[in-house]
Amino acid sequence: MLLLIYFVLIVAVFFFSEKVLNLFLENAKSTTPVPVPNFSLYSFPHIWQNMAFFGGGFKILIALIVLIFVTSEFSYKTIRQNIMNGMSREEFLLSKVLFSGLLSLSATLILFFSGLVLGFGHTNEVSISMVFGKIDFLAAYFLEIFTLSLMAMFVGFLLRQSGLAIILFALYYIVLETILAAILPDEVSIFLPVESMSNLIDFPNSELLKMFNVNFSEVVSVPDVFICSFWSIFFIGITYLLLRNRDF
Amino acid sequence: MLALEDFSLQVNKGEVFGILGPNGSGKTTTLGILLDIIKCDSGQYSWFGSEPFSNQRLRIGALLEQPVFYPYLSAVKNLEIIADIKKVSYDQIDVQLEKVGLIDRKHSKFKTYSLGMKQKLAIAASMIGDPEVLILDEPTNGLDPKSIAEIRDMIIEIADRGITVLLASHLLDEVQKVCTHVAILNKGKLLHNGPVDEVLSSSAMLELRADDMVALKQQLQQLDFVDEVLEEGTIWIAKLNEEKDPATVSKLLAQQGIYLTHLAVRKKSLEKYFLELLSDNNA
Repeated sequence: MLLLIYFVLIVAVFFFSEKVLNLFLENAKSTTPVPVPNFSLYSFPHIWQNMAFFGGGFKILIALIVLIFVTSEFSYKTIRQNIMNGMSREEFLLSKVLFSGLLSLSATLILFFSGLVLGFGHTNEVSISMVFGKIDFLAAYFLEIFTLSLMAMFVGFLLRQSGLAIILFALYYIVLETILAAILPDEVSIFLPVESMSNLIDFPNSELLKMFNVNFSEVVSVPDVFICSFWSIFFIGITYLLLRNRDF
Repeated sequence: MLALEDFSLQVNKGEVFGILGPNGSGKTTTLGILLDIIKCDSGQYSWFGSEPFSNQRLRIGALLEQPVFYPYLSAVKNLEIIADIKKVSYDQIDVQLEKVGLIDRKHSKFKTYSLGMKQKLAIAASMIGDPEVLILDEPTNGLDPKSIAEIRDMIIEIADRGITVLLASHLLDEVQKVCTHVAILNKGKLLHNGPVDEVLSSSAMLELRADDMVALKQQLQQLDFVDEVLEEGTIWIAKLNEEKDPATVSKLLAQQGIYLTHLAVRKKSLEKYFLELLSDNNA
């Protein structure tokens, strides 16, 4: 159910974000004397960064799905039954990692196909190199969602109760890390998990912003790829340690 | 708090092994350890003569406490998951559902099942993959008498096929009816371990009645294989120190001019034995 909401929402976001932005721009044009250039969110190859950036904001929905699936294994006691039936603890963990991976992959595929549709519809001259120009943002998008899903998986295995897990996870994601990031010096806070996930894909640059001399990164942030990969492995590893000696 | 204390058990192939004990005596904990859902602080166990590893559980069917399935999935889907875990084909799912009489409801979601149906589905599930050992923990808990009888028949039928069954229960009658061997637990301690018949035959008693009850009692007390004569309602209960053919007893009494109007052999029920053991243990 939540998955369906996510899919509808994310497609809607992809397809209507330009309309909303342009609405603001129309307003801006009429009020400022400076000539505002026309631009499109959807032209190749920038579309990949633009959409990955906007889509990334909704990754918590995917993470919540993972969280609910993990905690429901505890509330239904099915994890206990599955292990009794002959699953090893490692296999059970692997099944949840695969589930997170599949969800992240399908989210990435939605982005890919929406991107193709919108890109071809909004780019005047299309060449292959343009279409796949910034396609690495898709991989970054996958990593961003996957890392957060694994974090949710860990929280689910740790707390076991869905209500508590959802509240604490959302609290950390929205509030706690923001506070933490504000307290810690910048050199440290960039290593925080949620922080590094959102740093992977920077705010999309546009002609508009360049006019104001604001420059955001136009490539995937490589250090953050490493930090996110570290967190992914860390969450899997610590969940494994958690599961290894636990009674069910 | 020690849940289990220092005991060892061996179950041989083909036995129907009952684990008896009051609530909280450590039955489920024992089975949980064997199934790797509870890690024990010390001690070890082995399956099929070798060190435990997860693949061995593919040869074991288990139902611990209440039946556990994904409530939002149908019976068939739930059994498919189990078949996947056991690495066997889906072919036997319908066969097992047929056996427990759930074939008509196989596409209904698990949460729509009644308690009896859930329990039967759990038995069907535990038989997926043709296990060599079946572990059942309170399989008739909370069921109506008809379902209890049905499940009991299923267990007997399964045992007849040569499958080793480990049955934990606090229902003595159940263990007495289906088990060949029994272990009795209390507060994590092993009180008794052996064949059920041994427990039952070690304690033969006779129910007797005659027209002259006083004379009967006198005569009984003179027999050397009678330990004690107790009154129970309108009959005497003679506790014997060895097994005696009732015909012999009847003959002996007739020679003394006492003609019995009632004579029956009473085997001490497992329940009596169990309660005796518990009171000894608690004392």
